Amino acid sequence: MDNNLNFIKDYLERHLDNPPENLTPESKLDEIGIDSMALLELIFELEDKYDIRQSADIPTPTTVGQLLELMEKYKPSEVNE
Amino acid sequence: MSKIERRRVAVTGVGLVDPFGGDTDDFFARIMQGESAVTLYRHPTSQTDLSQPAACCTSFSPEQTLGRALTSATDRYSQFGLAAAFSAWRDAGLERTGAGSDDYGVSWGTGVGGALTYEQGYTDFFERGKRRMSPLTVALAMNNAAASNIAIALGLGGACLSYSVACASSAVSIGEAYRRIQSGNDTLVVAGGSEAPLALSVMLAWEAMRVVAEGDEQTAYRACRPFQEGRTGLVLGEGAAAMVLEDWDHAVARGARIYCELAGYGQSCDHSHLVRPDATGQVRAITAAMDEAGLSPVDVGYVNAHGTGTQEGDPIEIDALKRVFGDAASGLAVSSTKSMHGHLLGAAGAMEAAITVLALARQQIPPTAHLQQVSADCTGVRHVAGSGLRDVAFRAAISNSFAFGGSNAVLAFRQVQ
Repeated sequence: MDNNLNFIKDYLERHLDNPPENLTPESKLDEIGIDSMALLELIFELEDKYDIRQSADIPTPTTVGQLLELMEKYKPSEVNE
Repeated sequence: MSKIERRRVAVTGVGLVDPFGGDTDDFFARIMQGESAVTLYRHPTSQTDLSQPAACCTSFSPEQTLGRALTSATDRYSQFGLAAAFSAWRDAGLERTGAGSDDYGVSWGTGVGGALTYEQGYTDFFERGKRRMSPLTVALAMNNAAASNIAIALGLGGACLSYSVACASSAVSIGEAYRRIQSGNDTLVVAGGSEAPLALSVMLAWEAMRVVAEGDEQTAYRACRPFQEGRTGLVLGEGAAAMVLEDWDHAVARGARIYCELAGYGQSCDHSHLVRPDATGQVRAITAAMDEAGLSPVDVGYVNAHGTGTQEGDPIEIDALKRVFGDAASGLAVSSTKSMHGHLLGAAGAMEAAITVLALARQQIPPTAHLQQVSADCTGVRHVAGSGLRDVAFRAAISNSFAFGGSNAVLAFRQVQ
């Protein structure tokens, strides 16, 4: 989970001028700079990282917590973090 | 629409992203010295040994200029466009935030748009074994991305239009912006163009046409020699130019500094050949622009020529000028600044229109660099060479843009009266 949080933080640092310092599970994605385009890209990068492909009908996360849940759910079991 | 109903159009801001990397004053001072920004450019990831003389904006830092958020969501051609638009906006005395309006628009030109984004996608696909493209590809690469990013960043809610007319793209974007203001559809338009053409496929495509000038490490800077005996062709250039065009009364009311008036715009199509220009079509565009601006041949003190430096194109443009200017042609000051900043394709018209505006406002005429022996087929006008002309009194100037496809666009600028 921490690695996934770092993954999000790293994405924000690479893409935002003033990335939020404190991310909590309640943080709303559109308030921390992850709009629909950015979410697409972030999930895309995540899929590349784990070499997985998520189905198109996954629920759209709106908070950091929901995004982390999604990342955990789709992380392949053999990935050892 | 009768002329009497048309609004006058003021040029109130100019902004550039140029290969010298400084500000507008620096750029103009350098080209007035005949200084070339052309160097030998090697494509960074090509498996071939492809290198071409080209004018590259090597010192441009998108993150420093635009910030990380805009940089990561834009292709290089949009980054150039945003930076030039911000610069023109500031130059027009407008605040970066809160000065936009739904009566203000964007009119932009590009030839190859997001070619580098597509190149990245193909490189990922064919060389790195990836089997898909970034989900941002469409948003980055589309040919109206630059215009839309400018509208979003500056808060411009009027028409947001993009034109792709090959090498006349941004002369057309400026001309069409002029029409929108004349007709009262927009009060102010950020107009111009941007291009980032140093993609492998684009470089190879131009090379294959055998129109890219020859040059090596030592000679690249003087590879592009318009109107010169023995010239060998054009050099690609990257960058952007923007101007703020404004309803004259609106500009006066807000106390804006006015560089000059955009007073005429002529368009035509050669309708004869895709890549061989035709003087007859060019004559019609030049004449239309001058007629609209109320200019006779003796009124025009400077022509910023399309002058790409190709064997075929240069004499045809000189022929067109001689036909339009008649007895006045021999005294007509002409130069092609592509010899220094390269051919910016879809941004060329805007870059050269900006130079024309600055030349008129400063009463200085930049030279065609590296012009030592005018080719016999390009004589009959007053070629400006060396370090240009200073302290010349002239009240009007025109900028020619002649595109592959036969589309011609000419802009006529008149001094503030």
